[in-house]
Amino acid sequence: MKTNPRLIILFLLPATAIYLAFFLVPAGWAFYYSAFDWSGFGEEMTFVGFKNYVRLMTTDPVFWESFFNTLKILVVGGAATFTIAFTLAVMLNSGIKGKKFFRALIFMPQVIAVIALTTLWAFAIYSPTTGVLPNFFALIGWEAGADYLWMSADHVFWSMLIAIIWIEVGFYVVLLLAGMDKIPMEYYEAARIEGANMWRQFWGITLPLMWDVVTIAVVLWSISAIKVFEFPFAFMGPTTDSHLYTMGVYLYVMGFGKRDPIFQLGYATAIGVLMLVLVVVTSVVIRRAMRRDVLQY
Amino acid sequence: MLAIEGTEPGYNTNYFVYLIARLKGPGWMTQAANDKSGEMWKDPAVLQAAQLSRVLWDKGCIPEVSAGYKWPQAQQTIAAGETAAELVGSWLPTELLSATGPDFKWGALNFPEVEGGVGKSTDLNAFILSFMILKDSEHPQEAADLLKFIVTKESQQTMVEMGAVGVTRKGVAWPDNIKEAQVAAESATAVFGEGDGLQGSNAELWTKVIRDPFNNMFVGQTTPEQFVESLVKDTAAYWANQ
Repeated sequence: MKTNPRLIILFLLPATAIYLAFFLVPAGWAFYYSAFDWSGFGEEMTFVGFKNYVRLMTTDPVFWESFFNTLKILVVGGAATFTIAFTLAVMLNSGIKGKKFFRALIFMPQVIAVIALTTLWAFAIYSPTTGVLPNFFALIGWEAGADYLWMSADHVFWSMLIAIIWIEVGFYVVLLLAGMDKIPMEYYEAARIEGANMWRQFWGITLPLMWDVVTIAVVLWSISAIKVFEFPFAFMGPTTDSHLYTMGVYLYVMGFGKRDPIFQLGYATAIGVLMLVLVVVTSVVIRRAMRRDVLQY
Repeated sequence: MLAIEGTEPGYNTNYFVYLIARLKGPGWMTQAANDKSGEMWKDPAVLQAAQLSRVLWDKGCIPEVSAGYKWPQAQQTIAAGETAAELVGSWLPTELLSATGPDFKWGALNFPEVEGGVGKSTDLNAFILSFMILKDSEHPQEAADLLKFIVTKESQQTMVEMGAVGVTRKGVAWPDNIKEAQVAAESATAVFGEGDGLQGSNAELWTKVIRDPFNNMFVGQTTPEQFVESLVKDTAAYWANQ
């Protein structure tokens, strides 16, 4: 079939224009604003060049705390999320009854508002007085578990990460299941006849044949992990404990202050630019590291 | 027992602010924060204030479990009769009304003086809400008329009755459950804002250098000595970056 390049350009034009207007242009403006000392209010802007970046990287320990928190979510949270998601996906794909029901159940946290989820975890699960976990541990007589303060400064970050993993697993289970569904069952039958156990089948068939899906899933996870904002922001009370600062939360705190009038939009924008750079670099590294020959089947 | 929201630095740092105000007087904390060398924090009163705040935990005045409370769990323990007091504003009876019911017996007292300190027990930490008219407002006269209406005795009385809050106009009695707060407000010898005013005048320094590190110390993550050390170092670093 003969293609008309002009027609293709014509069809691509609206989407390209929207992308340029709503993503690339604001991203460009973000680079611009990050070079200013600016509150975000009024027209008084002082050009400071790269000073905001230098200050972030060299003299702001809170930024580094938020950076390493983000990194922990990305790496530790990612490892846990994919381990659980793969386990559940393989179990659901093994021919069990009620697959759709369990899939919907696991996906459920994804359709609930984050503010409701933070309330659930903070008050109904972790609370030292009303929480399910401390009360359950007290019930079975495990004193150390019952006295464990999930929301205290020492533990709150990991408590939050557990909740985030619980929420995110559902999305990746559905994504991985979609990849598994397209693998012909005959491959598994042949493997079983040859004596391969589930572990062997997973490494020999499942993983290689859905590698493209896994790659996309890991890239999506890395993007959402670097951008994590809503859960830590809403997990605390009127003030967000700095132990829960991610780069996204710190950006908001510096730009808009939650309940403290910090209002340093130029500085906050520099954090946003660093997040964008981190997303791009991480995505490229993951894509390259996970590049494999495409298997045709 | 005292109610403490362990994860709410905004409330907990009131202890530090008050203790410094009692030891060195209102306004001293702002001076220390504005000392670009950070050296003013080395005053022995700062370490004493930090240590005194920890004494509340060490002497068992605060339930250990409070370190794991997320706001508003601790204040609910007042309604439940498990704790007796919280260092907080006169808005608390309103916030807890649904839990306490209207017949709950409320009371209030001024933060006590500290032996050897220069601050008085009548120096008051108050978060006062204010109105303003922007200079470029399109209808400044109408805005001014609205403000005049808001501060009439009738309007202020309505705010007391409907909103159950304290008001600034003299001669209007506050609700019964915060009447001690009205006495404290009317006999105040000095008034200072959140964080000795720093929350409004320098929110970044207030939150990052003072408030959050204080809360880490208050709940036992660092020692009073480490907290003072961080005040000196981080104040100097903050100003070096400005």
